[in-house]
Amino acid sequence: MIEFKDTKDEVLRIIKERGGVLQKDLWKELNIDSSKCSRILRKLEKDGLVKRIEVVVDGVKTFKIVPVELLEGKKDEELDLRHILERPDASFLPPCFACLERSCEATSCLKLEAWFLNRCRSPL
Amino acid sequence: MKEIDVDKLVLELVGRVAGEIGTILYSLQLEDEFTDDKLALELGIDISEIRKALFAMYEIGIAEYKRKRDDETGWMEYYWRINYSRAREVLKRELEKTKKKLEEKIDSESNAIFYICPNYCIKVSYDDAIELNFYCPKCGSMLNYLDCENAIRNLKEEIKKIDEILKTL
Repeated sequence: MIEFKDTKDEVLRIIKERGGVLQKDLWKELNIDSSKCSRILRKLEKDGLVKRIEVVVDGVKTFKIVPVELLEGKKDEELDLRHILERPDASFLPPCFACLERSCEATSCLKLEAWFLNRCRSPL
Repeated sequence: MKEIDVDKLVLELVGRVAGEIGTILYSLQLEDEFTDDKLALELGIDISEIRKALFAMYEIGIAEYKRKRDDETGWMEYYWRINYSRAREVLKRELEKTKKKLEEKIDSESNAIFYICPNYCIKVSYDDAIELNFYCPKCGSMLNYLDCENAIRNLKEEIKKIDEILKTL
């Protein structure tokens, strides 16, 4: 079979479709070697299309590749603390539960901050 | 304390990670392998929505997939399986992570005094508040002392609740 599509396009399509993917899954899935994958991702990052975020999965360092538009959208949403504060809590568990942001810090996470401030406002 | 419903917590976990579609897929109790395109057809849900939910579930460890090339069309097909047997393990990991984050939060909030803008523009340390003359640099409102005693007590209670759940897992 002849593949007309460029590998770079395919990489970008997968990243966008899933809203983020681990680098180690990407090269295995596309059946390309890790250095080629890394080269493509560096190029995509240089072109401002994706962002590589260092993460540790099962004790091994890898990158999570996220489409830039998603990061930008997220930033706007998270920056508005008032907006988050208006959302009622679904349960007693904080936003850290089932959060996929592996590199997040408890001291600087805005979602956790909003959740915490909600508790400062309403006594037990 | 009320009895903890582990299945409910797992559903909440799936819902938070993979949204409503994730919850639906998980609740279908799909014991066998399935392809995302076939499922999309059967459920009448857009395939990209299904894939997005499944990949989120994969990322947290509740779903797995294999890719195989379809001999007829030459396209890659995704064969999925939902790991119901791993759900408790994933739940345990997430609760342990959550507990650690809450402990870190308690630490950082107990070790400093904070001031906050009544319009939620900023939250600053006492030293920074002095620098700002206790006025918000964004909206000009007077900064208030943030009393987080209740919140910290609340967080400690939640850690206890998490410990209770962890004991049952």
